[in-house]
Amino acid sequence: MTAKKEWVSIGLMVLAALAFLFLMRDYEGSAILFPRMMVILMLCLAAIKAVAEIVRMKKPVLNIDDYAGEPYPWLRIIFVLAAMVVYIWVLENLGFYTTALLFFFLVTLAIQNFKRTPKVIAVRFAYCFGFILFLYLLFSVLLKVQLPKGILV
Amino acid sequence: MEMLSYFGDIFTFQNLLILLLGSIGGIFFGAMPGLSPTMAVALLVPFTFYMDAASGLLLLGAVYTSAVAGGAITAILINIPGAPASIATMFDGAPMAKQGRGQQALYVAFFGSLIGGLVGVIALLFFTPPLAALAMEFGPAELFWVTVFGITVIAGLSGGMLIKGLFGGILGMLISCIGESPMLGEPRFVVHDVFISGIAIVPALIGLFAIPQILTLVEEVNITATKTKYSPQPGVLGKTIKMFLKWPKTVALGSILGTIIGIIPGAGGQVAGLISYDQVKKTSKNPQCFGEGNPEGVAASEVANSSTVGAAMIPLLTLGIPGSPTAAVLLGGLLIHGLFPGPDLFDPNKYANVTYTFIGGMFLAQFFMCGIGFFFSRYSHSIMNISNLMMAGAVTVLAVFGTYCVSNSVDDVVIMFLLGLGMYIGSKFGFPSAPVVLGIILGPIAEENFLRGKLIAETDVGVFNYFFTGNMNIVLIALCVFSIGWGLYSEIKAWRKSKADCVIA
Repeated sequence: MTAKKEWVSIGLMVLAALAFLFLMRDYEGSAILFPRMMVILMLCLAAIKAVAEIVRMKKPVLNIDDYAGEPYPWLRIIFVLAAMVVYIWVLENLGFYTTALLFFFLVTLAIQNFKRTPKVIAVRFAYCFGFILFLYLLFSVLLKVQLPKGILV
Repeated sequence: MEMLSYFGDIFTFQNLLILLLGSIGGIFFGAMPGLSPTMAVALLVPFTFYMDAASGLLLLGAVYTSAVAGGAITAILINIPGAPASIATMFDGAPMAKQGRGQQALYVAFFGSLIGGLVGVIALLFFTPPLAALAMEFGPAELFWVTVFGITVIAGLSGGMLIKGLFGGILGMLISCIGESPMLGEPRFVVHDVFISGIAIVPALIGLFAIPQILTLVEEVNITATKTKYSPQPGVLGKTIKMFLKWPKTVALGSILGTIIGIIPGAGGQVAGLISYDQVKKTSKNPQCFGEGNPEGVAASEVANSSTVGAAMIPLLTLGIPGSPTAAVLLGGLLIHGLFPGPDLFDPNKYANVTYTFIGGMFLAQFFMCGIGFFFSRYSHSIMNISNLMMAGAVTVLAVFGTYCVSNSVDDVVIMFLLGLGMYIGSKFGFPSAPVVLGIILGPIAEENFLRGKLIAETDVGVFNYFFTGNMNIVLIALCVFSIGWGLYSEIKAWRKSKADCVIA
């Protein structure tokens, strides 16, 4: 882990503690005693980490992370995260199995790095459909698990 | 011997089917490099909701057992450990596969796992009742310190990230405070309606383990592993059994070390496998053969890492301290069935039937794991052909499905996603997920016992005396300090070593 990343992680530690501290500003009494102790401990740990990092900065160690590797696939990750949000959003409206099939098929097809020929698309759809069918038979038919049906299945 | 009377409950068609399916699923998960045993168990916890407690725990136990052993498949065939516990298996397993002895290496791994697993479960059977009796003496102060100890051990073994591990554990405890106070019923940190009922264990488990893993798989969709050619040969099982008869010292050393390391909370299978491998190599007459494709090396690692599975349950079932991250997830499985670790689990009038059915099932699961492992050895290469792309898609669907079906609530899915996203960002800055999960699980227990202890202390000896005096409190505090001290020592040692390496370079 690079020194820059370590300082960002210390920042995240402080930010998390302060966020909880901010949220507990209106509370009093025993209900908030334990959380308050936890926030104080979090701030103490962030301070210890900062001191350790200052000591480490004086005697730097060469890190594997210092070398640039493959660039981070921002676009791919953001696309998948956005797809997950849409998936969760429409889950109850469209039905569990339909959304699961659409998510599985479309997302895996969109982020693959090889050519999307009609054969690849057909095989991918068959795999995804088979997986969802297996889930349907196991959980809805056999175990009678309640799942959102929505306007489709 | 009363415990043996409960073992008959295992031999129902339903339980045997659960063991069979759990073992197949566990090996499948273990054989996939992207999926850890911890995540396998985390994904299955919600499905146990639809089963009775004993059957649900049997499923989780069978998956845990088989996933640890299944990690050997990829370690041997493609030189990537399917589970962290299989790191030492790679040293000799992968060279054996390169020499065309992949099947033999797999048979040695599964047979070794069978022996190690059986030793671990026997230790579980005989060590848990006396430890549970000790736990009966615990009051709120001791129970509070036990939860703190649980966090410190998981944090202390977070691979050189002690402070971040501790921070994660405390953050988990704070996250568990979201919702109503367990003692006073006051709502806390409810910034949105989604958080009114607090953070349930299952969405937290799945979110914290599965979402970062899914996104990591998405990052690596372009990476393809180099596969080793594999051709099954006849008569390998007989040869394997003969080999094990020649290695009594390796088997004894591996199973004893694995059991001891498994009992130590937080140590886990990878530590056991590596230490056992190292000790067997050091005490061997031909240490130069290790690392060159010696099946004894595979046996040393697999016997030890499988011994930790049963042994890790000892502190879990008696004190609620998980012996490994997977055991921490299993603790969630216990709690959602209303089973709290401690003497009640061994009380014939309470949950002894569930506990001993589970332990007996773990014993039987070792045989299922071994049999299915032998069978799957022939087809394991095809499991590994599943791409990261398909794995990421399938795990996402399972994660959403598993989270939703616990309480039929999209709110839980949203919480799962938010926690997972937070953990993914945290993991990029070196924050481990296991302490956060354990913090969420142990947080309510810690808070309830702290507040209860405080109430007792204020009318009695005072808060300081109540929490910081008394033999058991002092022992537990000393263990917490030791655990943090040991983690700190290991971290400083690793830092000095890297500094020295840097100077040499």
